[in-house]
Amino acid sequence: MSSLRELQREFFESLRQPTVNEARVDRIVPTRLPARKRLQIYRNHHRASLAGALCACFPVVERLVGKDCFDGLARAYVRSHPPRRGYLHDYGQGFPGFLARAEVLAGLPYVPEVAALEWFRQEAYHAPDAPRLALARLQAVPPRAQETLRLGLHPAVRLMRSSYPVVTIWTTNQRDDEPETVALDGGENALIWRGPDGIHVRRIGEAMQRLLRVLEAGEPFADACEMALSAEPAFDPGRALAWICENGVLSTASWT
Amino acid sequence: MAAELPTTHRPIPATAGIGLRAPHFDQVLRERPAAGWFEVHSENFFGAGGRPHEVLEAVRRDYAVSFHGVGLSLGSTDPLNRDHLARLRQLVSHYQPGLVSEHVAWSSFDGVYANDLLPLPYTEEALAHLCQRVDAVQEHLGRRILMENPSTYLAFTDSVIPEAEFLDALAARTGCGLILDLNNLYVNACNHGWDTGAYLARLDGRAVGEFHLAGHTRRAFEDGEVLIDTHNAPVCPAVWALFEQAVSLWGPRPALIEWDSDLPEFRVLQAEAAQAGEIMTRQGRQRHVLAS
Repeated sequence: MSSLRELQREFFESLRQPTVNEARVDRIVPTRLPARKRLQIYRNHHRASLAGALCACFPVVERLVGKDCFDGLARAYVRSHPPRRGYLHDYGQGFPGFLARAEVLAGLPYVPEVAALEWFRQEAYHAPDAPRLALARLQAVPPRAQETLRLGLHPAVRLMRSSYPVVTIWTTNQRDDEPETVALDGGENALIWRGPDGIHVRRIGEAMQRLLRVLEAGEPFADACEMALSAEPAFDPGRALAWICENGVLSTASWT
Repeated sequence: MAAELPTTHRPIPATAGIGLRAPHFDQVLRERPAAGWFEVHSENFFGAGGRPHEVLEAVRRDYAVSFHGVGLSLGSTDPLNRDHLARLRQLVSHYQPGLVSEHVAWSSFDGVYANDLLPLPYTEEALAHLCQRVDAVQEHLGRRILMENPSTYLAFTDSVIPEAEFLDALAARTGCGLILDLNNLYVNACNHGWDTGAYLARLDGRAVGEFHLAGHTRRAFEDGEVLIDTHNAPVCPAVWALFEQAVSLWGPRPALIEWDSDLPEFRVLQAEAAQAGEIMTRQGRQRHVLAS
């Protein structure tokens, strides 16, 4: 191994390991301030900057578990899941799954679900740009095309189904005042998407969730309506369609 | 990213510019404030679309823009990250920035990233390695890049080449330019007992294509103190003095006010940029008088 590579290996081990091995500091110029303390500056920065990046993505999780608990979880994640890229916008993708396995959160099973919602917001923020379907184009679909009409979701749309009231928990924690109590019984479906004015999170009913899932799979709109109506016979597909179109959830329309 | 933009890129003028960060996006788009030019971190635009690209498209229509990289890990002995380089190339060919830069540092080992700019030993081996990587990047991007002097909190016993000489050799062998970060120079001088006058005298000013100016934090231990390059404070008087000295030696260059955490209001950055501009104007006049 080259001398440079050997030095980098030793340095990186010192950076990442829980404690500094004294044998590893002998290539650092000795000064009044011990090498171990100089190395500690890099060790702190590594952990604190990455924990800070996670905190920026998961502010509601931090609020739910408290600052100290979040910091401990974030540092454990940095140890077990270090970044493998030189940029950070997708660092944290594995954090919801990591939280789901964290023993300290065993009594708070809704926390990983809220983390998943926050991660979808991050994905929606960076997702590719695409045109948003204009209502006029939808209104111009000829009646004979109703059977074959397919509607493509915008790439910055995410759907989530949770056995906890994730949207209510997330929304309640957007305000600075003391959060109100949220009843944990009953799951919620979440629609997360990027509109022209930012990222939105909205609770949707079972019929709307089924409709969007079918569209997401690339199946015809007629099938999506059928699925939605099977959940709620009173569901109004026309109104739902106008709403998702006006809010920038749709990108393309095609028919044969 | 949307369709290809016109390829007429604006060169970065030898005036004061400002580091553009997300908390100021809205204000900059709304007010189009006075700024000589903007510098962004390339990696902040590695996402596929959304707000960052929308902002950058708008900003580059009205201002000259420079791309400053923090994650290419050029000093690392890992293979050059081709995915990272490809993303950078796509970004550069799309936005056509006036300058592209990176750091004399490394950040990864065995594919794991530190999210930090780690110090290199200043040896012939490290120099040859870094030169080869800078060559590869310049070839891949089809343009010259600038390489910035790092801030460091420790030095290696392996180092045998003074930093200024290391930078000179890097520029001479690869044809790259240099960013001289005067805060980093000041931080290193304090941390390692360097003589800043000797450093500036040694450095080849012709290679310096940009200055960086930023703030640092003093961290006290019972057995000494370390200056940390935190980019969260105003430029300190000693760094302004170093800047003035560098400008008097080599003349004005694009000079960036860099602030990365605890961001103040945008007008604070504008005031710092105005101060940098005044120093360059004053020194420019004096150099003109001396020359005539």
